[in-house]
Amino acid sequence: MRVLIQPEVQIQRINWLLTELAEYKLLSDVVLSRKLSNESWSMLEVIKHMTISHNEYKNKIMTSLNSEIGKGIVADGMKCGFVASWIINRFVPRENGVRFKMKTSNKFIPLITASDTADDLICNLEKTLIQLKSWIERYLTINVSTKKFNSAVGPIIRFNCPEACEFILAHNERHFFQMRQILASI
Amino acid sequence: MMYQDVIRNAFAPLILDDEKHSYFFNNWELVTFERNELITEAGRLEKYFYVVLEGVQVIYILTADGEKKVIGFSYNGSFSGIYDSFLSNKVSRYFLEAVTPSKLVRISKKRYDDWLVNYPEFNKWGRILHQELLIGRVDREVELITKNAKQRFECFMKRCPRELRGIPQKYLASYLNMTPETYSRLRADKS
Repeated sequence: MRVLIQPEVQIQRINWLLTELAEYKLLSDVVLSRKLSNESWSMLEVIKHMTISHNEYKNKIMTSLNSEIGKGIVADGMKCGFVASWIINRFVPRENGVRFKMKTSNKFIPLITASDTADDLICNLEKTLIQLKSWIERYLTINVSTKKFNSAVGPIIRFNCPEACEFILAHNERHFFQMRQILASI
Repeated sequence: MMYQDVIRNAFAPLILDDEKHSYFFNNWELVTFERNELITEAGRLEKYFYVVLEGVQVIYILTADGEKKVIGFSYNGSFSGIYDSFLSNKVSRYFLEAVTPSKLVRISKKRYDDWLVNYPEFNKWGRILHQELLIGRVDREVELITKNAKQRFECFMKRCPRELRGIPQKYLASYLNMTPETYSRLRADKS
């Protein structure tokens, strides 16, 4: 089924994530750094991974938004293309959990360094969520370019600006779900 | 100040004197919004109490499948904002969106609370406002429960402010809890 992009719905979903992230600020470093197994990620690693992924799209989306006003009318809802819908639907967590396990490519693997504090990592993710929201607010009020650009995995999957924002959001929701599972297991 | 008269009218029956009530006219912040721009978002706290100088704004909630359900409007000379979030300090469940380019003035929660505590006349105005809001909400609920689509349309048309007549029909149809097609048919029948 094609994914319908509705900017207000996206903004509401981001606000839920921001509220949840604010609660994670109250957790101790011990909890945030705990891994359930050697292979799994800690909450801080998940948080850093989301920031890395967001930044991979940052320039492409900003270039798209700053190009001349396009024909894409998103305010009243806009359907994603077939391929974009397919990939986004695989990322969105459902009630019974994450459905498709995916391998993470090396450039998105989060490496926590000594200079990475929990506060900084959470603050960085918060900034990316606020930036994502600002992009969506932009195409809520102006018609944007629907010209496609390569996704982070290369030319095999291409997104236009609203599709890329929906993908980032679905990806984040998947990882917030993962963090909830980590917390529940600690 | 250009907006003094608007504020004076909005706060009626409170009679505001320029000198005696200078505190009422100070500290308002002028803000503007483009068409479709969100003034307050669902999931965020409403920090301001607004008076509308120009434009129409809509308050709506999103259903689980993303449909907008319109709860109310604000327009020239009326108050605006997500009042329950503002009063309770809890995040809003609703969006406040500019339907047309809008100009509003706003005060912070702290200022609003200060006025309620420190000025008896403002406190009295607050009591009257809350009575009117409550009566208005009950009337609307009764109307939605007891009247059919045609009756709801006719009642609304009698009281519909001029400012709302120019906005997209989908908002008015949603407010009246009917489809845009039904709204359009009823409007055609009337004319």
